[in-house]
Amino acid sequence: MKKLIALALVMVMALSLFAGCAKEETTTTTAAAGTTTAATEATTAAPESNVEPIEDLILAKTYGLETFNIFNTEGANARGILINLVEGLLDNNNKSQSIPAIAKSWGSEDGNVTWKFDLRDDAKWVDVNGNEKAPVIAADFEVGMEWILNFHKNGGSNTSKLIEFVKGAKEYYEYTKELEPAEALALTAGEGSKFLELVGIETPDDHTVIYTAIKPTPYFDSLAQTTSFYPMSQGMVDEIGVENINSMTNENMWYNSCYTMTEYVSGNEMVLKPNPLYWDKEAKIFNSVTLKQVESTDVAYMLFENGENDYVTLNYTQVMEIYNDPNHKYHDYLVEQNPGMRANQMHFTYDKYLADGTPDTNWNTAIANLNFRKSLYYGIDFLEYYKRFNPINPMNCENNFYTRADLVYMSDGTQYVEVVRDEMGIDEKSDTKIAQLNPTKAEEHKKLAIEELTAQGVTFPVVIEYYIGSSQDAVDNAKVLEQSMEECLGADYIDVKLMEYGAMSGTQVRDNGMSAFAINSYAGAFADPSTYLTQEIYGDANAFYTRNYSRINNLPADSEVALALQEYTRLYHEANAITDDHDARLRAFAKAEAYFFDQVITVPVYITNSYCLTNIDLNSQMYSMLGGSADKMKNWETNLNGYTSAEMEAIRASAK
Amino acid sequence: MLKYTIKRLLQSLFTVFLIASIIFILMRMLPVENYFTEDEAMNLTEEQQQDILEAAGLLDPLPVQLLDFYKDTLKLDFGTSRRIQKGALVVDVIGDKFTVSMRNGATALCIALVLGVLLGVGQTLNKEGIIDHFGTAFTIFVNSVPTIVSFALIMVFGSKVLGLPTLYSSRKVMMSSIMPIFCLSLGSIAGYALWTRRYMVDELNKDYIKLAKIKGLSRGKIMLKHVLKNAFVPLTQYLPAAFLSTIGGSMLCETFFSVPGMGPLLTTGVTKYDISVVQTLSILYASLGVLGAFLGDVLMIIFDPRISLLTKEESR
Repeated sequence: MKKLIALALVMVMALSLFAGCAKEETTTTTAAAGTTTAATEATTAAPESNVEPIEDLILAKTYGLETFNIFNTEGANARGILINLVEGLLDNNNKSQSIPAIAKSWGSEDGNVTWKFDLRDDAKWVDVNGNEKAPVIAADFEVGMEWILNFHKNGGSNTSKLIEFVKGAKEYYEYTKELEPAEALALTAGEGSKFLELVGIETPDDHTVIYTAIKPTPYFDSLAQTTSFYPMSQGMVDEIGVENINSMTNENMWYNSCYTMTEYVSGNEMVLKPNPLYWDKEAKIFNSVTLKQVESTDVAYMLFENGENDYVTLNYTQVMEIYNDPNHKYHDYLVEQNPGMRANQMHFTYDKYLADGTPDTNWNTAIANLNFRKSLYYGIDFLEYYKRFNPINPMNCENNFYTRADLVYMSDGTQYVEVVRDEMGIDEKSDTKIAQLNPTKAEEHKKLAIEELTAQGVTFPVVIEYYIGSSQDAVDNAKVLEQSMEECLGADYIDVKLMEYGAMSGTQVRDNGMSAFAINSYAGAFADPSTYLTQEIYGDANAFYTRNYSRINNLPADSEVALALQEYTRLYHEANAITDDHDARLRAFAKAEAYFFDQVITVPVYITNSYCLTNIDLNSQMYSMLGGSADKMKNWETNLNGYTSAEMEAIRASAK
Repeated sequence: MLKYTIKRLLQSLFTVFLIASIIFILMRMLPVENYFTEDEAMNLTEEQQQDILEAAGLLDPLPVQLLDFYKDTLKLDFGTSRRIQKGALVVDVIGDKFTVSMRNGATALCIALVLGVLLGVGQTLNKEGIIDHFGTAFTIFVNSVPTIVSFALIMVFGSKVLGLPTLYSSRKVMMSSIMPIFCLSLGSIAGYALWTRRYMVDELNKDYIKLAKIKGLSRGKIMLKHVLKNAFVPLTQYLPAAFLSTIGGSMLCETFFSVPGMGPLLTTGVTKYDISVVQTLSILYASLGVLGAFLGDVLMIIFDPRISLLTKEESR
């Protein structure tokens, strides 16, 4: 009997616990979410030719959202979602040029030092259900900037551009840093505040914001579309509480962009609904957008097949499978993505260490030799490597520059990078040959390098330790690169050794200078070559690549490489000092960039350019080199039946 | 019993304390560079990075950090997440996920228990017969096919043939939970079937069963009242732990089906260097582990009268 009672009790406890958990999990769904339509039913990717616009968009993402406070993230993924919820002064078009958002007009009348932005009067803050909370006014931009620059409020995120460009920003940041947290949290951007006293921002009325730059900044408007210049309503801060802003949710945040997020389930999905009070009444906005968090692109592909996803990036295997099978249902639907924002470089480590912590003298001596570097620059044929990203049109991945193409243009519309090309004296872009590739020159430099380096005691083949992540894609890519490098330059000259991170993180490998090179790039933040080129200058602790990758600052200042980088830095500063003549400025930067490659401080490698299956017209997105804008789901053209390769090509051709 | 309970409780507390301390020290031994993402490292100056580390207390000497950690834990202050849900209290991050994982896990456990034991009983009753061969083949299949492959097969079959939602959806909880729950229970069904069969076959060969047969007890009565009951005793020890571990979720299954559960939280916390989340989960899982072991012992006593918690001296 006793046992029976005990058993019954255990079962009752288990059942009650189970029943407690069996209720619908608490989501942050609001009343509006109840009206969500079954978007999955509305979407299909059946290969038909008729155009049927999508009203309920579904996108699969391999990442989630870490915060609802756009100021508190530096990540492009989070920003890509949040720009649909919060809007700043300006957006940008497909040529990376500024276009109106909250600001309807802007300009500078004093040689690019003070910049005035006139705000529209119909922009509103709304709650998650689209009810009006307050108008968007100029003071909101002061509140936003105060939040970012206050160390105890925002922890330093998104400060770099403000500190670099806005008068008094650094002083205010330093001031708040020294305060006790409670004191700093109590600060505001109100009248008579320390913020207004120190920082170069003024709001003469509710619809005008004036910024004062530290120096003449002709591209300030492109800076103004970055997160650092976004608004925040003091009303929201008061309502949520200053200490709760960084943990605010979709339910209590205020919105001023084209959507509100009516549902958010961490690790699962987000549902966006149109903001009924969004100022741009003409804009094409979806009835709903569902963002599903998925484990991998394989799952995203399966969702696309099931009509539960409107866009999927394909991996190499998927592209090849579809491309090689003419009967594949998606054979005609392979669409080339818009090229990536990053101009990836082979960043050499000039102060490299072996795994045991001793300097890799053989490599360090070799890479310090200009002829050795030039043999790599002219000698490596990256075509097979490109195929890993774009197996159908690999040459579309070609990159010959440090600054990403499509970022800046001369007054006559010429691309800045074309000016760099002229300075460098390399071939025009072609569909058959990588412009910088020159086996004859490579062979000449190789011979000279062998002579010079042998005299310095370097042994051949020079071992090039290349550390890579553990993902199969990364390993496969690296193997192709290893093979290309050794085939082009000879296994008796270089020996590329693929190394695994093991127990180390990528950051540890980088900070310990263990990899002979890394392939990656900076993402441009504003429409000026300096956004890229400043990352490689000599002796500046803020130059990310010099500090973390090339480590040239660690070499003797009179070493050949250090002297070359010093000369590049001089040319860079010379160009950066030109603020009154746009074309002269760009020509000067082109000279600096050409010198950078003449000295082969890095080798330009590739631009990401892969394939996708899409129900979205990629050409209708705000595709730009300034990041994030392409994710703003506004004015997108769509077709429920998917876009074929031919249709997309035709759209792109007509847009040109 | 009371003395035993107090003793086990103290041991458990010490174990949890030890695990929490070790995890804390190990996390602090990771290079602080991991604190920043590549995007952050690109945009923050070295000085700013130092300021942030200092404000987070990560530049304090380890004993000071450890002491602060003990103080906060005693006040049940588990801190805030700085990556997974920036600025949110860790308890809030865990909050909803806890119930989702437990609901799916407990359902899967119940299904696995019923089906697994039934299959095991069927295999024993039909030893060397068709059910036994089917059970063996099923067990081998489940254990030999890589989990991710079987999940993918189930996803394709479930979504394309049965028309089930491919991923979990909070708007269609019942239907969208079918595939994750099935995947979760698959391995356990095979496990319970295997062990039930094994223990029942052991019991069947014992003398008291032969005696029962000689005494003329019906086969059904022998199997149910004697063989299954005794074979079930070793399994009961692990039931509480299995039940409590459902709270932890399944990293693979939940990630694969986008279930917003606890499963991926710990690994995400470690990879994203979300210290507070990792430490809180370590304490939670360690507590559940020791609690599960304790409850397992108690259940064993209830089901098997031959087991006693008294020492030899006390029993005299």
